[in-house]
Amino acid sequence: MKSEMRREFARESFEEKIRKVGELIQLSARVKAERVREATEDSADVAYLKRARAKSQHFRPLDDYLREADLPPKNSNK
Amino acid sequence: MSEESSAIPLADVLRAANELVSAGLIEDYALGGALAAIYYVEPFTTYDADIIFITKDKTLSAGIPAIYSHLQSKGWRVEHEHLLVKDFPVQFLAASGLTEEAVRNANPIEYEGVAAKVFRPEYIIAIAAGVGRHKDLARIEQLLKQAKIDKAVLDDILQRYKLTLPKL
Repeated sequence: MKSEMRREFARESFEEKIRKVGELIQLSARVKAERVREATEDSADVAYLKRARAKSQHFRPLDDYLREADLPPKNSNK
Repeated sequence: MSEESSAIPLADVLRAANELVSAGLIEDYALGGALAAIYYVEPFTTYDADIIFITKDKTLSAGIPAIYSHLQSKGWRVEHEHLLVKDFPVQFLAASGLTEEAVRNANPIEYEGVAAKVFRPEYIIAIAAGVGRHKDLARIEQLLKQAKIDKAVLDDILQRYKLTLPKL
C-alpha cells in the first residue's frame, strides 16, 4: 500500500478507525473459521480415501475369484 | 471476541474507566497499547484494549480486586488476565515509572462523546522501545512515519529512561 494512502487512513477520525479495527477483527475471525472448515473437509476426504484403500486391500477383486474358478471374468462376452 | 459482536465497545470501556476515577478507585488513567497507537496511525488488527491507571491504593495489590469487583458488578466478566465488556477483552494495568508519566502527560480526547485520555505518541514509542517485541518495533516505525512526533520530547523521554530507538 502506498505510504500516502496509509497516512490518509491515519488522518481519519478515531471513531472511524476503531470501526475499521472491528471490521478487521470480524474479517480475521471469518478467515480463521474458513480455514478450520477447509481443514476439516480435507481431513474428511483423507479419511474417506484411507477407508477406501483399506477396503480394497481387504477385498479381492471379483475377477480374481472367477479366474481361480476358471470362469470368464465378469462383463466378458465369452 | 465473537464475530457477532465485533464492534469494539470502546466508549463503554472509557466510561467505565471514568467511573473508576469518580468512585475513587483509581487516581487517573489513559488508553495505552495498540488502540492508543491507532489514535495516531492507520488502523490495524488488535484484540484488546489496555487501560493504564495510576493507583490510589499503594499496596501490593494496587487496588485491582476493588477495580475487578466494581466492574463485575457492572456486568463485566473476568477471563484470565482480561476483563470482558460485551465480549471485548480489556486489560487494566497499574502504571509505574515511564507508564505513570505517560498517563500524567496523556492527551485529552473525546470518543463518541466520552471524555478520555490517550498516551502521547512520544510515550508510546518510548514504551515500545523498552518492550522491544517485533510488534513494538513495527509500532515505532508506523508512528515515526505517520504521526506528528515532537522530537525534543521523545529524545528527553528516551534519555531519562535510558532507552534507545531500534535501528529500523
